[in-house]
Order: sequence, then C-alpha cells, then structure tokens
Amino acid sequence: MAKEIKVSLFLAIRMLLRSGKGGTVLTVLIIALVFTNMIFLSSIIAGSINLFHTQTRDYYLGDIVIRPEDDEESYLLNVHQLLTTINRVPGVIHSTARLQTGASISHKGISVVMPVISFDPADEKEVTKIHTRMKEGEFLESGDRNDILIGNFVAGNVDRSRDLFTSLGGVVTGDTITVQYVNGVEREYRIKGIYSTKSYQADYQVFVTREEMKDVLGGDSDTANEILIRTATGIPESQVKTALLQYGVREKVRTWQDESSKMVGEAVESFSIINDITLLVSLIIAIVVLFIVIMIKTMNNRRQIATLKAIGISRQTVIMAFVIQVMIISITGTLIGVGIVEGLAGYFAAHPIEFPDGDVYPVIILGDLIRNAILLLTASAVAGYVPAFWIAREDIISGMRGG
Amino acid sequence: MILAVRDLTKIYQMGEVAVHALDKITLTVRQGEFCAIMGPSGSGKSTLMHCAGLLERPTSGQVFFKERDVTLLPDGEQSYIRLFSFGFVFQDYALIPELTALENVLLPAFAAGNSEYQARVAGYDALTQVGLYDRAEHLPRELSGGEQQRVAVARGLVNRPLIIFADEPHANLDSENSRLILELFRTICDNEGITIVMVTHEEEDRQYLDRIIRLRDGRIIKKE
Repeated sequence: MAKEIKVSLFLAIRMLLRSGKGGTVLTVLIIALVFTNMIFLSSIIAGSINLFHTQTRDYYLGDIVIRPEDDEESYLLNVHQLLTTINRVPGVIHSTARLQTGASISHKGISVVMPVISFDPADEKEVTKIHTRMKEGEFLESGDRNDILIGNFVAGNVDRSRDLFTSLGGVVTGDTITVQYVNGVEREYRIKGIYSTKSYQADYQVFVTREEMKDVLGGDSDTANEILIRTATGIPESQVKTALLQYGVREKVRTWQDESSKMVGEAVESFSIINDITLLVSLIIAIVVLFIVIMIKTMNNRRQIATLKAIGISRQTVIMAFVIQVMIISITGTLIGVGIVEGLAGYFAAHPIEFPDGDVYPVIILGDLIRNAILLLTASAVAGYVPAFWIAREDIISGMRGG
Repeated sequence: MILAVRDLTKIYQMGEVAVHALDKITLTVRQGEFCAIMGPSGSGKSTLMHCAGLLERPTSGQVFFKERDVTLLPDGEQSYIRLFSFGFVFQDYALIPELTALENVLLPAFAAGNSEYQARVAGYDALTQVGLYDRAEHLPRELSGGEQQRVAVARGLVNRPLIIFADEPHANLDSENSRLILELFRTICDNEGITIVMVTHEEEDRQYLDRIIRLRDGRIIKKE
C-alpha cells in the first residue's frame, strides 16, 4: 500500500504541476469561494447571536439575574442586605437592584403604557453599560428626583411610521413628560437623557432613581423585582451562580446563558437550520464542481490512464493519483478560503455590518472552521474518486484508442 | 517456451455483426527470439499481440506464460505480470506527457517497489542503453518522434522484462529512426536474451527477425 501511495503521489504531483494551470487555479479558487461561503454566513449568524448576548449582558440582564422564587408579582425583600451579601461573593464585581411599577407615560396627548424601572445610578453604572450609550443628554445621578431616563424606542420619532413600537412621538432631552403610576400618583419629569443601545429590549425601557420610586410608592420599599450582577472576567457565570447559592442566596438565580437560551433559543435554532441548508448547498456545489472538473480531467487523460495500466501500474494506484490531485486542490482551496474568511473577518472587524439591532462582527468559530474543512475535503475525496474509478475501470485497449 | 497461445479466439461485436479478429490461433514463442507478427490491415496481428500481452482478454482460448495459463487471472495479477515480466512499445509512443523522459522510464521501476533513487538509477541506465542519457530531463513534447520511441523502449526495458511487445513501433518514424529502433531490439535480444514480439507490416524488417508469423483474417497462414 505504501508503495502504491508513493507512486500515486509521484504521478499526482507531476500531473498537477505540469498539466493546464488555468483549470487547476480555477478549481482552487472555486473551492476557496465555496469554503468562504460555508464559513461566512455562519460567522455572521454567530456574530448576530454574539451581539444579542453582549446586548443582553451589557444593557439588559447583566451576567447573572436574581428574581423572586415565586411568581412575577412577588418581590425580593431586604434588598439592601441582599446586595451586601451578593457583593461579597467571590467573582461578583457589583450588583444593582431594580424595582419597577406599571405606569402610563404621556406627552402632548400621546401615551405609552409600560413599567417604570428604578435603580441606584451608582450601582447601575457598575453593572450595566447603558450609561455609555447616551444618545443625548445625561445619565441619571443619585438624588435625581424630577428626572427620567428613557430608551430610544420610547422616545420614538416625530414621523411615527418609523417607530417599531408605540412611542412618545419624538420627545427630546429637556421635554417634560407626565407619568401616571398604577397607584394613582402622577408626576411630571424632565427627560434627562435618551440612550440608544440598539437592543430592542433595552431601548424600550424608562428609568427613575430609587429615591424617586420610594417616594412614589411610599412606605418602606426595601424591595426589588430583580437584581442584576456583573461578574469578574474569566470566571464562568455558572461558578459564580453556585457561589451565590453557597452564600445563602435563596432566590431564583439565573445566568445570562439561562435567560438568553429561553429568549433566543428558537431564533438560534432557525439560524442553525438556515446555516445547515447553506452548508449542504455549498457542499453539493463543491461536489458537483469537483466531479465535473475531475471527470473532464480524467476523460482527457483516458489514454494516459490506459497507458499506465498497460505498463503494469495498478488500477488502485491510478485512481489514488487522481484522488490525491483533488485532495491537493481542495486543501489548497480550503487554505485560501481560510485566508479569505480571515481577511473578511478582519475587514468587518474594522467596518462592522450595521444591522437594525446593532453592529455585527463576523465571529469565526474554530470548531466550525475545522468541521467545514473536514466536510469539504471528504466531499472532494468522493468527487475525485468516483470519476477516476469509472475511467480506470475501462479496458486498456479502448482507453488507449481513446474511444 | 516463454509464451504460447492455444486456440485463441477474439470476437468483436459490431452492432449485430460478430467480427472474428482472431480465429483459433495456436503458436509458441521461444525465449530470446525476435519474432514478428505480419499481415495486412485487419488481419488481427495487433489483437493477437494485445491478447498475448494480457492487455485484452480473448473470447476463448488460452495464453500461457512460462507454461502457466494466465488467461483468466484477475486484473491485479495480470497487471503484476505486465509490470515485472513484460515491456511494451506502442506505435504512438504512449508516453505520459506530464513526465520527463527519465520519469516515464523510471515509473515502472518505481512501481515495482524500488526506491525512487534506485528507480532513477535504473531509468538512467535504460536511457543510456537507448542513447538518450542527455535527454533525460526533457518532456515528451520536447523530443522528436524517434527519441520518444526510444524513451518508450527504455521504459519497456527498465524492469528487465522477459518479453517486450512492440506494436508497429516504427510505423510513425523515418527510415533512419526505424533502423535505430530495430537495431536496438536486435541488440537487446542478442545481448540480454529478452524475447521480442513485434507487430509490423514492413517486409524490410525481416533482416532483423528470427521468425515471422503471418496472419490473414485472424488465422495463421504461414510461419517462417
């Protein structure tokens, strides 16, 4: 077998280097582009999912979210003490408590019904990154009582046909809006700032300070609906979650992965189906192209194949020589494809693709790269073997006569 | 007896017509003889050589090599015999265009299990024998017809076969190159004892030959 491989390699390298360069280069390019196609779409999908995850962590949930054990109507109690406990847990950088209540927000006759969320601005800045995404105006400060922070989708547009959700019709910083809380309290707030994270969920929220909410709700409101936690980089959230439970946090503790799989599980599954179909189509294209190229190449080499068999070179050796040629073409094409994909990734890292929900950077997953390369090389081996096998089966004299 | 055929028959089906290319041919070839198969076009001489050289399977009859019936051996075993014991020279040279003269010649030696270095040495020896040592690195398209045919002879010789089958080896060559090829065969035959079975229809070749087998309509009409 080793002897046959040596002879096949000897023949394959020479046939490849000394036969028509144009056809070989074209085939290599086709393989490179097929590989690029196989990887690029999945890298964009991975980038979109990655963007969603980043937005979820940075603007919506933090790394870990704690909610009451029971239903959504109940509250986390003794929040001040709970925050102190949480902040002591190894791996936790900081935590912020959020308390929300239903309200009707109106401006110049336009009303939006949605919850108003309160937080301590100092805590919030340590956990989420909303303060870094101010579109206009300023983030809330501790002690702000007559100010409200609103998301871009709540502010909306004067031309309401451009709005994705019901909005206040294009309010700007400095405008005064009226908030009618469910307990009957009515307040007027000046819009202190409008933020835009491009996350649909995060940008459809409004915030006031915790002091203001206490005043609105009255009584001892050391409660919260949820606590968001930022964890240290490099420590798995699941590890911090375990630590939180060990420190006696008895509430419902969920990592951002737990939450996002609930939120985008179906979307990821759909993307995965699209990706698999694209992959399958790419592979079929690769197989067909290689099959045609190798079929033409072997047909053109019928006499040589017959000659090789005539002088005693085994059929397996001849077939292997063609398969090796295809593998060399495919490996070269795949490597060039990797180069193209990396080049595109580099380009789009500098110039991200602007999607409505954020800037998407292609994310190339090494596992995908290896899996697709193996799939493509396997497909190439099959596409090279079949025509070579057919032609090499032909009897010697017919082959030498070329017909 | 190095080679023998008995009742060798080859029928080609051309549509509904059965063409008898060989019709129960029986003959033997002795070791070290230079024999020619002669006859007019369509007499079956090439078919006889192809069947005897295990390039084509007969419809019926037997082929004996070193007194062993090799007619129905599997492809792999016939391929093995062609590689180690037979050499072939074809009318149109049948060199691999992507290989240099040396690579064409060393290929059977390499396939026979020699290292590439050993095969290269054997290739140079064979090319030297046919007077083409200095053309070793040239591709076939850079060689004249006569040179290409001598490369083909060197390739046939490289594994020191027992028999060389030559199918009209000088039909495409001028008289000077034809003479070179025939002299080469005669020398190989005399000096190395290699049997040569050559298909030709040139009567002038008889001065180089030990024996002539004449065919007509797929049958032997005369042995000289």
